[in-house]
Amino acid sequence: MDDFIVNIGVEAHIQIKTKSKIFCRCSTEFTEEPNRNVCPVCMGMPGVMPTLNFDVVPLAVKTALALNCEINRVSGFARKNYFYPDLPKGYQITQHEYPLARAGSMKLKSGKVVRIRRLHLEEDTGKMIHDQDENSLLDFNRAGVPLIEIVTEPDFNSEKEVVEYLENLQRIVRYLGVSTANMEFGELRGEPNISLRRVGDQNLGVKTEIKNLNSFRSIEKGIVLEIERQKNILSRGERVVSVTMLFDEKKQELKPMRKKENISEYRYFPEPDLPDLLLSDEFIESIKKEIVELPDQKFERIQKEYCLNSEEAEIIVSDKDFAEFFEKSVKGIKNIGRITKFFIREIPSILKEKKISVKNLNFDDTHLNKLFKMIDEEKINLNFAQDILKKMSLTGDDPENIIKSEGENISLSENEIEKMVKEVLEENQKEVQRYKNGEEKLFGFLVGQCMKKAKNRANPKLINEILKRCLNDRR
Amino acid sequence: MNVDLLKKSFESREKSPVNIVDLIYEKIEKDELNDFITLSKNIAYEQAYLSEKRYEKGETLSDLDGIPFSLKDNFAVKGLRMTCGSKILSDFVSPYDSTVYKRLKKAGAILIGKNNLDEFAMGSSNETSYFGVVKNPCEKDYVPGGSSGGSAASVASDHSSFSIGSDTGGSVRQPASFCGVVGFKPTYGKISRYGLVAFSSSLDTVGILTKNVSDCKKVFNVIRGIDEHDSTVDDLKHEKRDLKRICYVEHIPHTDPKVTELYDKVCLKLERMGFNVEPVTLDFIDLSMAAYKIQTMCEASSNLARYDGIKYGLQKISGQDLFDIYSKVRGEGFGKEVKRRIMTGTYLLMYDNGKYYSLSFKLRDYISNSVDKIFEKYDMMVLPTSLSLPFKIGERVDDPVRMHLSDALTAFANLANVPAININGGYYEKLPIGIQFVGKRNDDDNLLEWVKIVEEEMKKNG
Amino acid sequence: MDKKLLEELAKHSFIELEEEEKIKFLDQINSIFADIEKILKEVNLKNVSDGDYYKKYLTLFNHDEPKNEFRTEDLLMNSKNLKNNYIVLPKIIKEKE
Ligand SMILES: [Mg+2]
Ligand SMILES: [Zn+2]
Repeated sequence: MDDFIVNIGVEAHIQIKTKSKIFCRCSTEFTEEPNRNVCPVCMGMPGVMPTLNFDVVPLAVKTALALNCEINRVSGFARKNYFYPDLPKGYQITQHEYPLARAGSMKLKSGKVVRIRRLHLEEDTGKMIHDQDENSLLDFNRAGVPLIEIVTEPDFNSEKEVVEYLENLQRIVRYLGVSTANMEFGELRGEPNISLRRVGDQNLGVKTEIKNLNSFRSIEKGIVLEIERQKNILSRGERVVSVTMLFDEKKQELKPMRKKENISEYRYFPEPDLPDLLLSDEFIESIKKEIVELPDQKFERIQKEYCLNSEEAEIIVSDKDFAEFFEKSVKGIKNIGRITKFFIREIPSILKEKKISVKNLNFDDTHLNKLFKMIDEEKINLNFAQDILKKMSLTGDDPENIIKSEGENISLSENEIEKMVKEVLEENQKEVQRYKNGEEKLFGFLVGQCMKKAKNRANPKLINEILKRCLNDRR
Repeated sequence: MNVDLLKKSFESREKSPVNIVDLIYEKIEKDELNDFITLSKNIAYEQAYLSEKRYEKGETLSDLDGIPFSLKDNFAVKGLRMTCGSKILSDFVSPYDSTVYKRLKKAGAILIGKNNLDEFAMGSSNETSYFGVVKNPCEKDYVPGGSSGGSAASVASDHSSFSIGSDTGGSVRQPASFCGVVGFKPTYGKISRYGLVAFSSSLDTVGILTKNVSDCKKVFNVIRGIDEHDSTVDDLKHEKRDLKRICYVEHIPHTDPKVTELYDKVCLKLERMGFNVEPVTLDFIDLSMAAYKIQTMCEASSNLARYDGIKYGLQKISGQDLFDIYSKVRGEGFGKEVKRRIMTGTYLLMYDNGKYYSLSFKLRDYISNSVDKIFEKYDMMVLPTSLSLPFKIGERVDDPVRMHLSDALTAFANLANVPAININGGYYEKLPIGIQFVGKRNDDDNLLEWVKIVEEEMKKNG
Repeated sequence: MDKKLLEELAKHSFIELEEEEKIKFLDQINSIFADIEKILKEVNLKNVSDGDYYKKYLTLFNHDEPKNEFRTEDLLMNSKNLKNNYIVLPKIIKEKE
């Protein structure tokens, strides 16, 4: 098969996490009841008019700045006219000729820079579901939910790059608090458009679009299938037809969508009910200041500052609150190496078990900091610390109180340890004698005996010192 | 039936809002003008009763307390049918109130009913309504004008003291002229359009029909002003100033000689009143017809896309596929005039990706600049409201091009977005001839003040 | 515009036309176009500056406080076929995909 160059562009839609919809006052909160969060405006009743929920603008501007876009001081709303039952007004209010931002970019791990053509604000459509006896049911709760649409240039050459781009996008919007961006809830949707051309051909081939990809895995699978399909067509000398393909999740197959639905002609024109949006320089500057450290910058800084390997850094940076929690809890700890594993295993498993996020753990970073200090100062050993951490996650108590209130496993004072070591020596006089006659390795045995007796209540370094001292005294 | 007289009779207990409502409903029945699609009797009697109580206690809400009014049937009233004169919405009940109705209700005014209109406010003779033709109260087998034909007829025949209509290219001023009442179109964006069913969103303007200009000012001040539901409303105004310089239009082609004769008489009277009246020529009448057609049809094709028989209105149950069902519902639900405009509008937007529509904005720039130049020198312009006298019912139904001519002298005010008001200039036999006064953008209050003076002067000596 | 284009347009506007309507509309639409073309030729629209008839910039901004003022029943009272508050689409003979 002759080989082809693959060009892929991506249209991403991200649901913005505001409390109310973009052009009316309805709540965006999830509800089981259909047509609950609706009003005459988002249901497209006769005579209604849109009004802008301004709080979507800073969130969109933040996202655009994080993608190195230029913000258009003046952007305009437009109508995208087409018919579909889930589109109440018969048109979608979006931005066409004058989007909110343009000319952005994103750097992939490979160092390749992907160009972002534009970013604009628009409203989501309603939802259509099918019940058992083949009825199509309409629910307009989602109609009017604010969306950011981000369109890239066809700079991707493989499905891996597309997935990496979308994963970065997901992390950035989560970081900025713009969206929870869960693909399975449709809060982040990626629509790749794919074109193939023979090596040496300058201009791009005919492009096709894939819809209905609800996870990173299906995006990858969909793109691979489409590249295959186009390769076969082109290799047979035929021409690719520009069509929209629908991905069937169950059958893992691509099927062409009926021509009538993807009406190409949207008859865009400026939305007469919404004058243009003018953004002042001060407003944009104020948002620039607000932008928190982005995932890739934080990754590099944390990896250097706390000398973590890339997997560890990846886990810690995966969630903004988790990273903040980490940095606060390890403040002032000298030997970080020993405690990072708490953030790689123990704490994530607590979170997963209780299905909560770091914010609603019942202990906070100051408690954790105390615990880590104790480890740092060798007051307690690691597995003892794990027990305390488990208790902390149950009671939310301060580690010091846990240690005090737990009675039997409070750590021993120095002379208590000495008393205990002497008892051990009494009980193992034969081994002490053999050690004295030169069998050095018996010392390890004696240490083990002391540790067992101490039952994690004493610091191993301390036990060693006192044991040595006692053995020397008895010589 | 004007506001001041009614108010005085309520205050003096000579009459009560409830008996006025009784009289009105009797007269509506007797006159058989078909100027109402829905009568809101229980709302009217309830509001009249409350108003009566307020008068007894002497705690009236506003100048309009107890005053009976009507709404063109493309304004939303919660719980009341809103048909827009169309089969496709013939059983639609609005779940919400328009801002205009909310403010009038708060002021204590009494809603008599919803006036008949040209379907979706498209037309200038009120002959395209699914609910039948409206008769002109002055001469029953003549048209009342349109598209707010029902509103003009109801004010002229005392079926309501004032009425709220919508003026996109003259749809309040032209019927006011044909029925001999006051019809005011303010500057675009003075009164909220929330609840007014959209025809052409960038031109639609809430208009007011009354017996006299002073009533019009009272209604205007109750319903104008910023509204949280409409982003295109402003409250820009000019300083109060006296009227000095008026201009009239020297030569208007296609005008009925009887109209020209009356128009000249009015200009003379204005001179005698001491105003400086000078001629100007308008070179944008044809332009405004072209721009008006393009803009309204393009926007209407989008504004009426929501009528798909899914959520409300006329519904079809089965069909070959979804899109086939849409076409059947709209094919049957819309009248001819509406279908023609939707299709032409769709074509204008599709053809050469909307070249015509963007061109029409250039036309509006041209017209707006020309009109602004005139108002740099003059305070007010006077011209006839309509090229013709009211015509007989059915006379022009199949003549869309000449039908458009009936907006020739009114559309430019919408396109240039300047205020304009029609008052009655006089009669030819029983047929009224309206005179139109146009003001500078945002000069609505001064315009109303000046035209009030002119109106009183004209009433004095015939 | 010829009849075929008119039928295409009717499909795009989702309006089913009877035969006699098609014929009447064809000449009416053509005459409107002729009218517009004639007028556009007469005027020179080069370097016409922006008129200030239109509303410049958005000034009405809502804040992100949800207000649910409408009950579901009120909003669905005009829908003919409902199924526990879903709007049921008419049965279509050919299922989409
Ligand atoms: Mg989109
Ligand atoms: Zn809503």
